[in-house]
Amino acid sequence: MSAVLPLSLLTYWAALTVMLRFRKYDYNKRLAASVGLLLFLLIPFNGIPAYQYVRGYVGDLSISTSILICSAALFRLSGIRLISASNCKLTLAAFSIAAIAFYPAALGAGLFDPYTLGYASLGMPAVLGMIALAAWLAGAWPLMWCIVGSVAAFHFGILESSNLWDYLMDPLLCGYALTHTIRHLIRLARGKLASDTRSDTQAGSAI
Amino acid sequence: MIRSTPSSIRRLLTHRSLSLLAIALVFGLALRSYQTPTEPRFALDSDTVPAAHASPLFESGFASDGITQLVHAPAVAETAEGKLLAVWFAGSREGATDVNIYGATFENGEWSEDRIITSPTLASQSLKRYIKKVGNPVIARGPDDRLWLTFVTVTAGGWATSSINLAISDDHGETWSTPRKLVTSPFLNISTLVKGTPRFYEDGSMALPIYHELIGKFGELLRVSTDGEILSKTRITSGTDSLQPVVLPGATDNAIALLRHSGSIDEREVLLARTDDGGKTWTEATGTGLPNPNAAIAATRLPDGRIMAVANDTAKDRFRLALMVADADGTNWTTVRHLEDDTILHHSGLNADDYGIIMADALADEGAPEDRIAANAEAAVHSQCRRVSCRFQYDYPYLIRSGDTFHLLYTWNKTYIKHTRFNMAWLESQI
Repeated sequence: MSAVLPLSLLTYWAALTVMLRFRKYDYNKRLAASVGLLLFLLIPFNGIPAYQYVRGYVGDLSISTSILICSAALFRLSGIRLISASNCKLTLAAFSIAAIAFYPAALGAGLFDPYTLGYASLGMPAVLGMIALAAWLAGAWPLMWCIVGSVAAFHFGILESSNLWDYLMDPLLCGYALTHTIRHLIRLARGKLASDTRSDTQAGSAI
Repeated sequence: MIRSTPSSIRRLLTHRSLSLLAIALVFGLALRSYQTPTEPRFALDSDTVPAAHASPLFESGFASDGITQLVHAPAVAETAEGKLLAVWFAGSREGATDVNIYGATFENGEWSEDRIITSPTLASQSLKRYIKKVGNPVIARGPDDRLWLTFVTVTAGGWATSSINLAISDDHGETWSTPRKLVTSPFLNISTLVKGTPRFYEDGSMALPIYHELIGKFGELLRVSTDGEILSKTRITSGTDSLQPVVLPGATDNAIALLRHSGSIDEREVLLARTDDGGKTWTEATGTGLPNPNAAIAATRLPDGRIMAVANDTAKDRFRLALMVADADGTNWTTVRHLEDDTILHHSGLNADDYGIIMADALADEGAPEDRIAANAEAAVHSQCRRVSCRFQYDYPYLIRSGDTFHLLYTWNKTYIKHTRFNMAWLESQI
């Protein structure tokens, strides 16, 4: 329990920081607001700190979420961008694919439960190792660090769960990733459609 | 304003050699620390059985003291000292925030006063998260004589959003370890519950039957190490119709699971699945022919391997509770006796006033404390009567064997936890 509580607090604080729109304020005001948010999360209500109410509802989020949301919070607060826009899209697309492949079966569709692979097995770390290497080769650093961070945290038992999947991803991350990826694909399709329409129009006018 | 990343941080995060080293280090550690789990082999009961000429024993009485308005879902274990420790949940109504997990001890033929084992407040403090309600406790004694208590907690929504927690007692139930959350589902860890009696493997790990009831309804078997870590999880059934598995080891590597059926009312019968590899895989569940009104089942093995079960043998509602015996492979079921049977009263369309009178008489017959009968009858009217009529309900049985004596606990009209004990001599006289 010793590391999971501060990690959860940090993750929830980062998520709330990202959700608040800070851009119109200067750096000092943004920092003050963020510190205020952190202090609020520590205020006890009926003997329980506010962040433990959040923990009751959403549980401990994955290490990947912690890494990505803290990067996003750093960007919101200071403008320092650790993850490029293209790598962000790639990472979220990877989690979208994983979510589609994983959640239906893990939640009861059929007799095969991929979630069981996350308990005490060699197969899943081996596959993740290969994906991490592929990400390294492709320069997909956020995805690589999400995998490496998750496996490292799993080795040290940072979270309550003894399942590697819970370190790698969670439904909030996957839900966001799916939404973001679908929106991006729609924009791409509309862009292509507009481009095709313009080409047809130009060809038509040429004729 | 977007600032470019300080170059040193970016270089560190994207340095190819350092990144590769990180991959090698982390995965090397993971491989190095991997330990192959021991093969699951069920530990079989080693209770000795006294000689068959013991005189028949059949006794019953209330285990709870009737103080709380509603009680439900009992479980019981025999401690290493030979006492029984029963647990259940109770409060003003099922799912209320005043519901606590209670316990009582059976010693020298008498049940102690109820005591609170945990509550939403206590659970919130020990689990370090907000808990709205607690329920469905299950208890068992492990091969190391420690008591294992699992119970469900809910933060938002109903029982379908439950998660399970584990506490262990090293002193026969006097005190409990700080509960720990068992993470069994990747979707916010919700919708895992417990009901069936835990079994144990030869290495001391626990085989805990669990089930899900959000979207799908299906049974699973969890293997939990002696340190409380989940080692594996196996799906017993899939789909939307089965839950609350009861696992009955027959040998070290094979077992039968009986499951409650929650499908359409015309199809409901107790389901049966088998494993031949210690619970790693299960056959497709098939019907046993025993009617099941979407209600919990309890079962245990007799010393000769036959199966004894307690369940509601009705198509709808839980007004009758039957004791049944089957062959070791779960076939050829025979009803031995109806432990509770209010068929006529249940269908007679009693109004609340008549029901209250009948309930008060029944409470007196069962030996409820005189000064609580009126309040208990009123509580039963409150929980069991609707506008049209009132019902009788005997459900959520929990059955264990101790030598040649069997202890059965079940919910009695949501008003008391009833304890019935009988021995092999009595059972053989009934078959």
